[in-house]
Amino acid sequence: MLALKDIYKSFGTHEVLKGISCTIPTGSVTVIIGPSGSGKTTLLRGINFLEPADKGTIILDDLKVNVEKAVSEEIHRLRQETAMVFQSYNLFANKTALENITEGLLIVKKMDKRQALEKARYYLNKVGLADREKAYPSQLSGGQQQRIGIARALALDPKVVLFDEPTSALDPELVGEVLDTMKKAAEEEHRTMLVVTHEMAFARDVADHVIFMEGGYIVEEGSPKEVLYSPREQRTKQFLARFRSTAL
Amino acid sequence: MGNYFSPEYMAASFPVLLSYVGVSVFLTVISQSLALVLGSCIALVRVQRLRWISNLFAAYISFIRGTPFLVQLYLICFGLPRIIKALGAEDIRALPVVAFVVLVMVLHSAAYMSEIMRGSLESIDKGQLEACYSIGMTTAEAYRRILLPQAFRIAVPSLGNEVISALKSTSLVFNVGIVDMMSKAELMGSYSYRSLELYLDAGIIYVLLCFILHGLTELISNRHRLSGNAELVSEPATER
Repeated sequence: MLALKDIYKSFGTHEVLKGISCTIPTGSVTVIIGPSGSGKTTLLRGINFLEPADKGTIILDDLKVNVEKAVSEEIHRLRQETAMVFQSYNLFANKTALENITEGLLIVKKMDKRQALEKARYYLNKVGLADREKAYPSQLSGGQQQRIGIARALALDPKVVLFDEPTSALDPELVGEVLDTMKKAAEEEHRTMLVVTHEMAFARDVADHVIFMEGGYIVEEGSPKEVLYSPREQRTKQFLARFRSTAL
Repeated sequence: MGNYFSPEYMAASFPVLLSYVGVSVFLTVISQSLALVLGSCIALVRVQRLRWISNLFAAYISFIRGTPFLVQLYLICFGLPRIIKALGAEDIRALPVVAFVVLVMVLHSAAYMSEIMRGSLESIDKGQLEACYSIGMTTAEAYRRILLPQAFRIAVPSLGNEVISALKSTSLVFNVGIVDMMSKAELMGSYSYRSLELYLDAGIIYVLLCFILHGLTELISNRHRLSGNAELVSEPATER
């Protein structure tokens, strides 16, 4: 279980997160939606300290980290027990598709080479790219790169996988293959996932829990049915209105 | 051309000068390998912005870039032994002068190489480091496995230029008493009064050496291009 308590974060004088608290139960998919600038991505990047928050507590099972007093061992452990899928994929440019997945297994998990290769191939197969294992990121399409990014994250068996707008940089016709891969991870492997996205259909079909954020606050949260179809808050209704005609 | 130029003498002298090519090659290979290591370390310190030590290196780089190689050569080869002696240490003039020459060349090239490596490291998308952190790598692992290899690939052409320039600067070491191609040419010229032929020979040998170095540089960067890394900075790739 991942729990966040009173997370605050400012960039200069601009306060981006104003006391965020939420709980992501093990094996569940939580989707965060909201307009840009609402702090969704900052919240996600605060969890693995890519952009450390200013205040608050992060609890991941038995690990409890006070953000203000976090020591490097705690940060390192949080990073080892989570994984992230980035908006711009961020595959290692000097590694092949297969090596991108084995890298963490060999270097961080200290797995032996044979085991690491076996595991990496399993996940390559899972994301449907078994035939591209020798390709470098620059030789793959955006959708393929992102599927490798997902495989890299899943192979590490993290307690939580963080998805930071994983489809926002993709051409519309490539979005589907990435969302399908994510859906598979949720449904077949029961991964704990925290997903920031604008894909409302994904939230509707896959999420167990939806959080609507705006202006650094959680405005509303609940099941997809509640938040997406009968929102209580005026702001949520306004935000969802522009998706109403298409995705929902 | 009569007496002014003797092709026969030039041809006869060529193998003699060529037999001294090892000195230049030795100095270049040793100093440039060490300079690459030292330069990369300096670049890492400067990229990490470790405060006072970073400033110290910045001052060192300014000094090297702001002074001619010959001045640096004299300072180290003639000045350093005196300073060390004045400090009461053993007389290090007993050390072979080659050691001092290698030291100057390392310090000289490391300054330039560190700037090349720093530029390359800073040109790498910061998403690469974030990806390393996100899977639980330490900073040291990230640099060793991901960032330095990428930076090196970007830097290869510029590093190659630096090596070529270092090779050519070995022609100055006769000033501190090492007998290389240039000093052999000088010596022979003072006996035969046919310096032009000898300098032409030396020039041809330097051109050939630089040609080989250039070829090696091309080979290294092409090999990496073949492995699909035309696009080194990982921007979101364009769809195809």
